Amino acid sequence: MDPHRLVASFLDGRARVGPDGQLTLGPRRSANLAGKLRRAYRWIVEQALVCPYLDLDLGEVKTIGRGDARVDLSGAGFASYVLLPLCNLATSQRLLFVGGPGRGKTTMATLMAALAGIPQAEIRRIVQHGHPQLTTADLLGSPLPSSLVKAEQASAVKVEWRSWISKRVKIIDEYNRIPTKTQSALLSLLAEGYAESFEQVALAGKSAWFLTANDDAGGGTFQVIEALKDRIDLVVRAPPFHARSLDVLEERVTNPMALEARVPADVVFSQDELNQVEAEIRGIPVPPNVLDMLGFFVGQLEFCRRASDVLEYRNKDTLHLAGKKVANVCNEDCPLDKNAHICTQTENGVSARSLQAILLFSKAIAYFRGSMEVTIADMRLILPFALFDKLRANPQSPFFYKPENRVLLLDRSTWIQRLFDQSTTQYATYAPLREMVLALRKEAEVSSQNLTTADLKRRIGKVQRSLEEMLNRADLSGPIYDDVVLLKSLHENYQRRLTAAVRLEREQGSS
Amino acid sequence: MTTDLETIVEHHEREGKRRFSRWDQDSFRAIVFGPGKRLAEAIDGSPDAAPLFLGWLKLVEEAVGLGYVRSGLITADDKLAFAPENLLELLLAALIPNKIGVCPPQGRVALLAKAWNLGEGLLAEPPWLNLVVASAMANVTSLLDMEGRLLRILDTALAPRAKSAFTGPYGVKTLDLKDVDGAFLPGRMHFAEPALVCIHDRKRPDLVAGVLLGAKQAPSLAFRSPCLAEKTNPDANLPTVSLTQAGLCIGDARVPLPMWTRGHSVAASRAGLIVASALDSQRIWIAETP
Repeated sequence: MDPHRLVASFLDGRARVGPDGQLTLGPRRSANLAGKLRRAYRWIVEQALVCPYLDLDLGEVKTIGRGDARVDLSGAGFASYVLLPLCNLATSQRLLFVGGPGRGKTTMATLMAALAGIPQAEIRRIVQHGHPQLTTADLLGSPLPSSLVKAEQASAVKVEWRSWISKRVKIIDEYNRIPTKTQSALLSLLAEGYAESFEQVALAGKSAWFLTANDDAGGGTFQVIEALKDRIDLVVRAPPFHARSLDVLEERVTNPMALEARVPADVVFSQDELNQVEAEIRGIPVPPNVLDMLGFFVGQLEFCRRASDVLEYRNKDTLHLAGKKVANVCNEDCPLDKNAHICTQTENGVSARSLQAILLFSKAIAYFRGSMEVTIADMRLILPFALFDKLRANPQSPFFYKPENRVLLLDRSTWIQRLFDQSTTQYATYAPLREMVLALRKEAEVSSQNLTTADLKRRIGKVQRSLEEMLNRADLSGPIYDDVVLLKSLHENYQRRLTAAVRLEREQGSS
Repeated sequence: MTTDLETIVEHHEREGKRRFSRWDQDSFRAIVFGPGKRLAEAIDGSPDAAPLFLGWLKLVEEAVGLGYVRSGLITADDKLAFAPENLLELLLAALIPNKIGVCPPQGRVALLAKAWNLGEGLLAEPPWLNLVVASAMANVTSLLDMEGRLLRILDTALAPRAKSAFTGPYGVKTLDLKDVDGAFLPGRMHFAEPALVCIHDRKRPDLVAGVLLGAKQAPSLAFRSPCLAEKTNPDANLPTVSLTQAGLCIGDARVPLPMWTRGHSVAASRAGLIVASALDSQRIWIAETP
């Protein structure tokens, strides 16, 4: 660091004297968008909404009290209701707010629109209110009557698209009150990013979606189609109003200014800044051990030992395709300990789409915290929100018969987090057994070119011995299922190459 | 100007609230009605009074909004509640209101712009450097040649320090820390940078002195600071340094220290600097070898 250059760079700052002799200050040069995101969070929780429900615990947790009257104190607590919408805005994904009426779901969504720089007058116009008479034309737009009369073919019809379609933030209020047919139109916009009418296509562009529902368990006017539900990346609960924050309400009654109008300029993001934040978030690396732990967790959820005798079909899909539920086979006939193995607790596994959401939002949390990489704590934190609507419990599992576990059937978020914690404990237990599989996998990835038949035979032997050792030392269960499948696949791969190599040697010998 | 002050301040308060999520109205008011009043009086009647005062107000608004100035820096009776930790705090709350009045009127707004640019630029550098500069510039008598002064401080602070082989010879000098705090008793110490040592008070763990050790014959600079690097790992390649009745034992070398009685603590840096304190003294002894 050369002091002369440093001072020269300081002097070239943003303060100047204008031609009129007045001092002017240009815009700040350093972006520090993660800092801006943190400022936005602080402003919302401390000044805009005042949200004391800090349900995201980061850092060491200290427990006060006992049994069901305990309180966990954490070094750094965050409000999911504020932090996750911000992460959703920053990553342009899809988030659903659930909770009773008057909890501020729509307010939070409109606040996100304000943070994205959408003017206050426009925000009210972009909110799409779900109701039983909402048609596709109401939602997306309709053909201009004049062009409808004049047009000789469908492609000549001019469609007047609704302006909200192209906005960065899209808000669908009470999406479970939208008729099923209109939901399908919404699905193509939300999932594929375009709307179609009269052979005209409108593109949604990069969008952060915020949907709200008073009751996501089917209590809306219409059942939400599964495909639409499946596209939602996070489900966040709107907390009840905190009775000790009445002074904030009183202030709002005295000064009835819309919350969006109060957003300070230094927490409003431009489109370019939002794009930059997303790029920075996506660039946060996920270390191999974090990926491995996630894989270890979700691999167990899919596994069902009693679904089939064939290794590859020992999963819950096999049961569902046969019209059965996990409860039909998860009984005393299955030798696995229902309190130790988490496969018993779920009815289904996790889709690749959900895994992508988990990874992306884990990166967003790491970014928000200022961490250089994703940690297991980031991932643990995001799981309950990414899997809230995706992971279904098996209420017949003996695990839930235990009195202390019964409450987990009511509180899905805590159940998912405990499920992951249980998996983390198992991860440590099974680590020695899994090390040899990781070594074999690495060997296959790194140096599998130009292997001689002798090398291939040696590797096949190693894989077989590992498989035998694994099955001798542990039950065929969730924690080792994916590793067993991997070893089998490695074995088949080496065997196929050995056959080809032997054939080649034979051909070369005969010629 | 005083009549209009409330109106102008209200405008800036509205702007601050609109622009900044961390807007601290109390801090803004304390600075404006404390140091601001002194500034207004000092420049009253001069041709550039209005642009100068309004420019300063704009900078205060920006600094408060961006959190450059800590909350509660100025007390109700217009005193600094704590020592400035960065150059902007020092400039906006003390130096500009106190010293700009005696600068030649032409170019005072430009001086204001320069002060801001230096202060904000420095904020992008490590906090210890800001502390060093704020401490070293606290007693300047004029705002002219600010960049020259800053350059000299940075020269000392950032001068590259070659790795020492600790083969001697050793030069010794002392530095009294009573200027940092009248009752300062040097206790636990550790290096935060090769030439920056952090010395904790023996009886008050929260009271810490940062000492920037000047190279060769250059003077060292002591200032009150927060702990600058609590988690510094000791350098394994340093020689063993112990305290003796006569001074220091550095590897095989014995370095006598003047006015030395019973040693208390010692710390060494790879730049060939050894700092020691004694049980009965507010001084520190600094031994240096090329």
